[in-house]
Amino acid sequence: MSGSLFDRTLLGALYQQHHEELFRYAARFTGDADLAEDVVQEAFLRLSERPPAQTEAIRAWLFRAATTIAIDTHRTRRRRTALAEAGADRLPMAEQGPDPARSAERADLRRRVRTALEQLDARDRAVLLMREEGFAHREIAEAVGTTTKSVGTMIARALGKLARHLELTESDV
Amino acid sequence: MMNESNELTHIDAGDLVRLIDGELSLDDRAALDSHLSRCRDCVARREAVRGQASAIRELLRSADVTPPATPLRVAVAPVKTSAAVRWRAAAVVALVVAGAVAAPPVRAWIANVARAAWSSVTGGKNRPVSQFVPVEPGEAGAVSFVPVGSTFTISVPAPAPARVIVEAVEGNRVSVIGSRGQPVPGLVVLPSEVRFTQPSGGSGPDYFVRVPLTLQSINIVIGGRSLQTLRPVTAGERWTVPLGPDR
Repeated sequence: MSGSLFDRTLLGALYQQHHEELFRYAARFTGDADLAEDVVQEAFLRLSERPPAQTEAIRAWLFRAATTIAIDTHRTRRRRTALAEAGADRLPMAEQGPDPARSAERADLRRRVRTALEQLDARDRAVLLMREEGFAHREIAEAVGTTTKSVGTMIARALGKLARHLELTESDV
Repeated sequence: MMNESNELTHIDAGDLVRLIDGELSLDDRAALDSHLSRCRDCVARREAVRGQASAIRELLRSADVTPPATPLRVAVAPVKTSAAVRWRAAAVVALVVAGAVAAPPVRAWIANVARAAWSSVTGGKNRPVSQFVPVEPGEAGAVSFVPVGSTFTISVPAPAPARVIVEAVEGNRVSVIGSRGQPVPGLVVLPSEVRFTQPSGGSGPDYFVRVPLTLQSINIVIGGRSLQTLRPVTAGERWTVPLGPDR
């Protein structure tokens, strides 16, 4: 492992600033809270080991790294799970509430959203979810390797597809 | 985008998104506004896209899981280079900008962090010493932490003439120890995985990994070999996994 350009204090501060939003993005992207945690840790590991040559915006760099890691890791994890025939269901992290009915409702909603997101191809999913995090089309384009102009088209396609899979009606929108 | 006359073709869906997101140039925006002023269909489509985006945003937020309070688990060994200084300086500037818009208590915290970080940029004597962050070394040559989830992975990138010795123990912590209690080189700790990133040439070190019974399965990944899965049942169980070339 090569040496890091970051020391503990600085890396810790950047982690404090960005880990929540990065986790939210990764959890939505992968549909798996445990995996999302790995993605976040791996993104910061890469930042510490191989920061980009140019001092560009760290936030955009982290999301770009997380996107790449999430795609790779998700693929690997699915393969590993299949090979190991793991019995544990990797649903998003359960949040135990006092009201079982409400918890069940929430679990259903999560399953519904996760299933719908899985219908998008990885690039469309990344584009849509990075938009949700407030990134400009130029930053999104750099993250997924496309032109800035194509991002609008990809977002429109992703929104339409997601709305269909979520069975959103006119009254919902 | 529309055709030259701005009249015959409707606005395409991508341009509607660019319009909503404020991503169009002034000229393009004026052209679309002009079309919208005469085309009810496109106005309705723009509102439909807005409505979809808004409904989807609400659903995503409702389905979000709470971020865990997992600390950063990255082994950091700083190297002072000009690139490092440039990076630190840029990051300090980012922290100062964030601090300027933050609430007062957060601003004070960010100010402290930025001060410490700036000290490291300028070679101040308070520069923190490299450590595992914040996985506490339980003793010399060992790292111990609580894993996340019921499955745990031990990854070694390539075969080397050494062994991974896995032992099941009571409790809920994983501990990783190198040969003869020496620090484990190239160890990376993730919430549900440890990786040994430096395969040794020659005779490599043995890795001792103690795993808690709370884990249902332990995946061993060695280079391109097939995955091996261990399922600990009782404390004291021990597996020796040779890393060397297959016979």
